[in-house]
Amino acid sequence: MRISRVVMAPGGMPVPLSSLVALRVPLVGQSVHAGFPSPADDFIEEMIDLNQVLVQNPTATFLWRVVGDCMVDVKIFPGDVVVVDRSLAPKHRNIVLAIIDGEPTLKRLNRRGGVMVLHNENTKLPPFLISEGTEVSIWGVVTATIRDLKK
Amino acid sequence: MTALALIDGNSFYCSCERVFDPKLERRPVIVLSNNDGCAVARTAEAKALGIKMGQPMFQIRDLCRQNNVAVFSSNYALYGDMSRRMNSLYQGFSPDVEIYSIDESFLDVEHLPIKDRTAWASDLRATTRQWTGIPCCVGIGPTKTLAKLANKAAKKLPSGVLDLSDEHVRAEVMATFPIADVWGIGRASQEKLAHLGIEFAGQVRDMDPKLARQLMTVVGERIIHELNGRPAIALETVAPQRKGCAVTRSFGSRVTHKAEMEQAVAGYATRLGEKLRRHGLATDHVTVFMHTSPFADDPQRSVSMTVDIPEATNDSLTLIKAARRAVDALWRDGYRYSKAGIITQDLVPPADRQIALFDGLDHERSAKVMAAMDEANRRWGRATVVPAAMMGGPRKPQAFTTKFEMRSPRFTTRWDELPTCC
Repeated sequence: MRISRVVMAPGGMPVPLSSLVALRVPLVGQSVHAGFPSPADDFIEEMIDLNQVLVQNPTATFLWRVVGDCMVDVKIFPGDVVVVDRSLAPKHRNIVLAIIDGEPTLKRLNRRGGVMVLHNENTKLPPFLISEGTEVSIWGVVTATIRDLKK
Repeated sequence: MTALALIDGNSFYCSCERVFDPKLERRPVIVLSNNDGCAVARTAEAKALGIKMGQPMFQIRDLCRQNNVAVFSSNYALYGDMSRRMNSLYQGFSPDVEIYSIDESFLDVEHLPIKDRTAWASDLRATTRQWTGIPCCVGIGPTKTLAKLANKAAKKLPSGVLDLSDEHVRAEVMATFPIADVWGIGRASQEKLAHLGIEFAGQVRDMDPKLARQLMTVVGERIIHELNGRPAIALETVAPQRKGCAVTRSFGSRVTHKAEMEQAVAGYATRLGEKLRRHGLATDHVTVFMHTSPFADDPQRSVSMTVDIPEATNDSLTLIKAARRAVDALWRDGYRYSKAGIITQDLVPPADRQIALFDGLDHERSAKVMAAMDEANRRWGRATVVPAAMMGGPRKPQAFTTKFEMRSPRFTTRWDELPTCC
């Protein structure tokens, strides 16, 4: 089985899955009726579950598909899927899914002085400014991205 | 003393739609029943426009257009997933949770000191809102009926929570609580009570249980006990083993040809097989029914028939064969059928099924075919692979599929229907 998707761990290096799935083995060792017992029998583990790796709180975690380019400088591209956890309190430097006047959009959350500000991560875009009267809320905190490299 | 909390989602179906489309926050939203027939969920803004529960769509089409009401077909894949998330969250708040309906659950709170219950309820409500995006209300009382009553009263409070553990608070709330909103008191009972000058829950509580029984059967007597804080309806935290299973649908438009009916019923039999296989159960009979619309002026016909199957099975092809035999026997031309369905009772796990010596079915072969069919349908969407009996040749569009013309994407259960963000 070959999987060519790469998973970006939050803030870390991409994890190539093909090396992980090589560990796919049955949960219980097979009984051997003849010959030598497998030396691996004592070391058999469950196969890696990507849900466990990517999702800390399944109840509060949702997937969103990215269609815009406001985060390309931090390698979030159109077509990517972001993992969004609603149960986390948004913190300084988090990437968040913000709702700005009803529009869902990814933004970097920064604390400047005493206030939180949102901005794009794309030097080609004009700086992101919130005008007076704009409604802003945080929908959830982005914890990982998933990219299909075959496409 | 027992204590229960009832938590329910406010305009649940509409709230689910709003979670993934925040622009809807500013618009009235309604969700329609199967076949887009009538409004089954309304936001406060939609209620304010005068849209009634169960009001047929044709009556409110213009009103919706004029007021920019967002109208959705039911998206059960989405609502079901959101409901599952909420209930899994509730498990962290109470040792016993009874899922009462898709958006209502009873949580046992007997272990909590009374002084902590309001804070607990606020925390439950805030966490549900934060984690799932669904606004909820929480009511607490010593019985299910009182928890329901507290929940209803909580909807009018800014805090969204109300604890009626305290007898004095309870009496005060019940003194002005209309009987129409008491769980279990239907329209007929309301009229009977009104004749006796009974308008509020507090008056019902003080009725003689014998009189209540005379007026409203045993249900009425149970309500009196419940309103007095004596539990008469138990908490069911374990879903009873499925005894029966049914797949029924109203047709999108009337069915007047036998071939259409055969195709529809074959579809239900297929779906029934899927359900049985998912629960690891089997059946040795199917009951097929079909009827015309009781609301139409057409000639009326309502019939059903049970067909026995030689040994218990959950194989869709066998179920289809049995169901077709019933359609064959039941069908008469000249009627405009509005609904049909297939029902089974007394389900058995396939392990206890008896072995039929004659007319036996090839289990191993059928199990493999069915497993492959289920997998394909799970992966690529329901009805990707269907038995040929469900295909009606080139006739299109099929009259019997339920209409879901304005359904939102299945945001949380389909990889290719995820919500999008910039």
